[in-house]
Amino acid sequence: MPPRTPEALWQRLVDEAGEDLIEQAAAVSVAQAEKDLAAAGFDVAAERARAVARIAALESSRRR
Amino acid sequence: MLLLLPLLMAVAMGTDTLGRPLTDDEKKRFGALLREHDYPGARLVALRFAYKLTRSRVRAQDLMGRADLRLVRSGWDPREVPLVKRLCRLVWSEWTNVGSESETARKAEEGFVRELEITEGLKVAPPMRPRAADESKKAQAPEWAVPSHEHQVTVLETAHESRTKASAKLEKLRAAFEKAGDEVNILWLKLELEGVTDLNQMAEASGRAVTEFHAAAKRRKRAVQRLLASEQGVEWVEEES
Repeated sequence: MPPRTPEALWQRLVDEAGEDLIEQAAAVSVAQAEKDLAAAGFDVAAERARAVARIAALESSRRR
Repeated sequence: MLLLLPLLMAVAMGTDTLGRPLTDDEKKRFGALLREHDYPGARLVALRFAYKLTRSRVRAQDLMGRADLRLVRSGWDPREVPLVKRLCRLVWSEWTNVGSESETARKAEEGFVRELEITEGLKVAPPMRPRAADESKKAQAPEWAVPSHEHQVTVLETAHESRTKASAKLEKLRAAFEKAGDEVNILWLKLELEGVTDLNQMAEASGRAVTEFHAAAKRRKRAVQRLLASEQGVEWVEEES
């Protein structure tokens, strides 16, 4: 087997380290996320509005 | 082609894939797709993940903003992965600097091209490899076939920098294993770099039980998570759930 490059090995380690964390994070319900974010001091309504505005900007785009 | 149309409409092509900005129609389709898959809700879940990683509201919002940009750049296929997971992956990718490093390299390359245009009066197309289905790109990026010396140097420097950074991180990881007395993972790291990737072969080569190498995987993931957090100036807290 050819030696593995440091970049490839580090990338694999980063990917592996993230697998479980991503699974756990993505499994959280929206309601729970809202609750946790509010507890951490986020303005949840503002964050939601930001996302809605982003969709609206995409949907109403006109090339200038 | 008509048969492909509904399929294409269900996929959000990214600007990196397209090699150009989105058209108005593509933006509308992207927006409709995000609406259909509850982007506002999915984004809140991803923002919670960003906060878990950064432990800071400001940094979490910045991280989420970068993940949002990456979504548009890299696109999204709902048949491959749910939106919430896609966003969480992008958050992780941005946080671990994988994305920003390639972004840095891309910006450096764009800067070089702009500089050439200004100082040399040259009009240089970005060096994109033409896709098989779009051979006409060859004409737009002739330097792909014969890269300039400067471009080759830039690519080599970027590759060298990337290797140096990766080596330094692996060395930090090895030091963490040493500090923890984790001999199996020290061995795993050494054998992986030598090209031995099969755990049975590792066990055979080291005279250790293969179960030891299986058990080491969990410790290794945690060590990498702690190292990544430390690099970002964050104290890593094990998952509470």
